[in-house]
Amino acid sequence: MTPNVAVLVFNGLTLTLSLGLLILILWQDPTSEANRYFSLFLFMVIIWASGSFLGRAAAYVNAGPGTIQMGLRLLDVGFSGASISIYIYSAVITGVQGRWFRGVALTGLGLVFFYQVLLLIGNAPRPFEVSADGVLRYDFDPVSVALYLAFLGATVVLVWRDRRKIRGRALIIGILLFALGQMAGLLSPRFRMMGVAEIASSIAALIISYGVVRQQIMAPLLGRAKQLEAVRDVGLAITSRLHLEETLAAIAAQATGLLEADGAAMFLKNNSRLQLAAVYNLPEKYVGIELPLGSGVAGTVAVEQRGRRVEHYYRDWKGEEDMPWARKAFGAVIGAPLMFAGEVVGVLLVIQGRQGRLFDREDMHLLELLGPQAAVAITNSRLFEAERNLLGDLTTAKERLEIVLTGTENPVVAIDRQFRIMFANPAAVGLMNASDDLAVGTPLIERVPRSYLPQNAGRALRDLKRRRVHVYEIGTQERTYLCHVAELGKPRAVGWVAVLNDVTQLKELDRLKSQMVQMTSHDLKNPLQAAMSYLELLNEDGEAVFNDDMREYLDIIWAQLTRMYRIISGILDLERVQAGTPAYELCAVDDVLRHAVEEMGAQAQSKGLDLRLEIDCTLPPVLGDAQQLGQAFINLVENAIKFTPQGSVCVAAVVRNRHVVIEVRDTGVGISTEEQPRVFERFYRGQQQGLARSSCSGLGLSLVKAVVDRHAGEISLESTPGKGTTVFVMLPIADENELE
Amino acid sequence: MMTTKVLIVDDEQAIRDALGRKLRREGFNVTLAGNGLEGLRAFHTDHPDLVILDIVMPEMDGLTVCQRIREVAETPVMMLSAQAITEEDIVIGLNAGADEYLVKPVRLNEFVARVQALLRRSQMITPEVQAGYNDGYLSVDLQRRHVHVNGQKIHLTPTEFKLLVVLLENAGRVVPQRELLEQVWGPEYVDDVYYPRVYISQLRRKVEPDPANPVYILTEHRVGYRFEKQVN
Repeated sequence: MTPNVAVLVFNGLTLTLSLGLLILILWQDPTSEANRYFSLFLFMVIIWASGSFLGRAAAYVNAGPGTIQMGLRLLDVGFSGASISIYIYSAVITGVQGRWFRGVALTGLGLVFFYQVLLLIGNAPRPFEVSADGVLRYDFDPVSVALYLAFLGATVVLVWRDRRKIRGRALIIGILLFALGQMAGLLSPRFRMMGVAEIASSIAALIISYGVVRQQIMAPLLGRAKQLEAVRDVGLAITSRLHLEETLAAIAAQATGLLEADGAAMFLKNNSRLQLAAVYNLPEKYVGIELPLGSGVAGTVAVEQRGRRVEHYYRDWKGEEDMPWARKAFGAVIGAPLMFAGEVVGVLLVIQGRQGRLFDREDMHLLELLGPQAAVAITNSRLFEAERNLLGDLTTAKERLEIVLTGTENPVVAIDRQFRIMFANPAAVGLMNASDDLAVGTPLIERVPRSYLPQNAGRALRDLKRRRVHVYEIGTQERTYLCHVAELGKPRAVGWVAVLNDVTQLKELDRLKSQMVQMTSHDLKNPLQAAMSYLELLNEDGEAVFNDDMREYLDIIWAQLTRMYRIISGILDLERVQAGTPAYELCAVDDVLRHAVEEMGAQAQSKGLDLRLEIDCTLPPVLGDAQQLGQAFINLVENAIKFTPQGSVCVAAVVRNRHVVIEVRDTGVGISTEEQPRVFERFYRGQQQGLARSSCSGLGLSLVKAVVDRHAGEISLESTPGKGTTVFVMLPIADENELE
Repeated sequence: MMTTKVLIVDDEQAIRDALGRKLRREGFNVTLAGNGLEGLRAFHTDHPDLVILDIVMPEMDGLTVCQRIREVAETPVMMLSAQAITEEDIVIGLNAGADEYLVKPVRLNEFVARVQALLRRSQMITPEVQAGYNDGYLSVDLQRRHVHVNGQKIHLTPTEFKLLVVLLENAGRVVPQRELLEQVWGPEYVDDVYYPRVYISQLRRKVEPDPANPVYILTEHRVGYRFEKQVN
C-alpha cells in the first residue's frame, strides 16, 4: 500500500471517528463547557480531515486542480480551526482561562476564518503539486505556519505544565500527540507528504476520544459502584460512631477520598454562624474558627443552599477567605450544603491543592449524594448527644431528688389514682406498719391506719380541686404531723403526694405558751379581785370623809384596774379562740349582726352616733360558732364607735361569690396607710390623737382576726384618714354537706 | 328570822376578807375558810345556808369540796373562780354540783346580788302547782321537795329542782331559753345561755330512763325545752 493510500485510509478513519464522536458528545451533554469546546475541536478536525481527504483523493484519481484547490482550502480552514480549538479545549480542561480568554480565542478563530475566506475570495492559487504516483504535495504560507505553531506550541506547554489538573492520562497523551503530529507535519514537507499529521491526528483523535468517552461516559458508569461503596462507607462511618467530632472527621475523610481531593473541611451551623468543626488533611488548629453566614465559599453555600464550584480559589474567589491561608493554599474548591428537613445544618468543603485537578459536574453529584447522609449523621449525632446530655441531667436530677427525699426527716409518700403507693421515703416507711421492704404498688390503706387519712375525704378532694393542696393533721401515739397533700401531674392528676411535717415540738411549745399565758392571766385575776374589792369597800366606807380630789383619784385607780382586767380578758378571749375548738353549727349571720348592733346601741347613743344595720336580702347561713362570731362583730362595732367622734356606724351584709360579705363602715378618724397593715396585730394601738387611750387593750381587732381565721374567712379594710374606715369580713357560705 | 349563814372558802386571804366584809355589811353571818379541807370541816360544823367556793386551792380543790357537799346535802353552792378559759371550765364546775359559777374579778354589788338570787331560788316554793306529778316512774312532791324515780328517792340541787318545777308548770309547752333563765336563775342571767344546757343534761341524767333518748325533757332545737308528761 502506498503512503497515499494509507493517508487516505487514516483520513477517512479520522473523519468517521470524529463525526461519530461529535454526535456522541453532543448527545451526551451539550451543556458542559469542555464538551462544547471539544465538539468544536472535533468539528474542525472533520473539516480538516475532509479537506485533506478531498485533496488527496482528487490528486489520487487525477481530478482537476479545482477540486484539489477546494480540498486544500478546507484543509487550511480545518487546520487552523483545529489548532486553535485544541488550545481552547486544553485551556478549558486545565482551567487556565481567564475572563478575557474566551473572547480572544474565539476572535482568533474568527480572524483565521476571515483570512481563509479572503484567500478564497481573492482566488489566490494554493501552490501544490501532484506526484507521478498521485501523492499530493502542498505548502503552507508562513503566516499560517507561524499561527499554527504558536497555538500548537501553547497547547503543548499548557497541557504539559498543568498535566496534573487533567483527569485521565489518555487525554494528555492524545492532545500532546495531536499537537506534536500537526507540528511535525507543518515543519517537515517530507513528513507532510508522508501524511504524518493525518496519521498522528487520527490516532490522537482516537486517544482523546477514548479519554473523553472514558471520562464523560464510562467513568460515571464505572464510578457508580465506587460511589455506592463510598456512600455505604459513609453510612457505616456514621452509624458506627456516636460522637459528633468522630462522625464529622469520618465524613471529611470519606469525601476527600471519594473526590480524590487533597483535603476537606466540615462547617456546622450554629445560630447565624458557621463553625469549622472538622478537617481532613488541613491544619487542625483552625478547627473552631467561625465564619459569618454569607462570607467565604462555605458561608455563600449555606446562604444559597446550593452547591458551588470554584476552579481556582486564589484566582476566582473574591470574597472572604474560608480559613487563614486559603487563598495561598487552595486550588479548586467544591462546597455542598448539608440539608436536613429543609434547614442547612452545615457545609462540606472539599479542597484541591493549587496543583490539584479541577472538580467537574460528576464531583458535584457525588458530593450532593454525600450531603444528605452527612446531614442526617450530624443531626443524629446532635440528637444523640442532646439525648445523652438530657439523660445525664435527668439522672443527676433524679439522684439529687432521691438523696433529698431519702435524707429528709419528713415522711414523703406518693400514691397513684388508685391510692397505691408509688413512692415512700425511709421516713415514711418508718411510719407505716411494714418494717420490711416497702412493696410499691400496695394500696395505701393496707399500710397505714385509717386515722392517717383525711377525716373528711370529700372536703379534701374539694380542697385539692380548688387550691390544689389540702392540709390536715395526723396524730400518732407520740407525734403530731401536719400533712400537706398536693396533686401530682398537670393538667390531670396522676396521683397525690403527701409531705408530713413533724409539728410535735411546735405543738408542745404552743401548748406551753398557751398554758403560760393562761396561768399568768389567772394569777393576775386574784390580786385584781382583791384590789377591786377593797377599792369598792373603801369607796363605801369613805363616802363621808373623801373630798372631790380623793374621789377623782379613786376613780382613776378604778379605771386602771378595769383596764387591766380588760387586757387580761382580751388575752384569755384570744387564747380561747385560738386554742379551743369552735362549736360549729349553722349560724344565721343576720341574727348575729342584729344582736351585736343591739348590744352596742346604748354605747352609740351615748356618743350621739347613728348606728344602723343594713341587710336587704335573706342571708344564707354560715358554718361557725355563733358566740365567737357575735363577740367578733361586737368588737368591730365597738371599735368603730370608739374611733368615730361624730356621724354614723353602719353594719351591712351582702352575698358575693359564695361568701357572706359583712361591712362595718364608720365616718371616724380613719387609719393612715402605714398603720393599716398592723391594726390586726396583737396589742397594736393606733396613734390617733385625742382618744381615750386607756379604754382600749389593743386586742379587740386581733380577736376579730383570730375568729375570722378560724372560720376560714378573710378580713380586710379600706380607710381614709379623716373620712372613715370600712372593715370587710368575708365568711364562706355553709355547705350543707360539710355539716355531718 | 335567823340570819343566813354563808361559808366562804378561798385561799387568798385578801379576797375572802373583802367578800366577808361585804356580806356581813349586808347582814349575813359569814364563816371564812382558807383551804378546801378547812372549808369542808366548817361546812359540817356550821351547816351554812350557802357555800362560796374558790376552785384552785391547796389541800382540796373547790370541785372536790363541792362534790363532797353534794353527797350529803343540797345546800346551794356558788363557785367563784379565776379559772374560766372556756365554757368547758364552767360546765365542769356546774357538773360538780355547783348552782352558780362566777368568774373573778366580780364587782361586790353584783356578787351580793347573785348570792341573794341563789338563796331566793333555793328557798322558793312554787305555790301554783300543788299537786305535783306522778306517772308511776317519775314522781315529784312539790310540798316536801321530794323527787322519786322508779321508787327511789333522788337528790336534786335547788337549781335542778327549780328547773324541773318550771318545766313541769309549763308541761306540754316549749319554754324558751331566755324565759327559762329568767324564771329559774333570775332576770340578770338571761344571757348565760350555757346554764340551761348544763342543767338540763344533769337533770336528764337523774330523771330520764335513758338520758341519751329523753322522753320527759325534750329539746326544741334553737328555741328551748319542753316537758312531756308520760302516761302509764
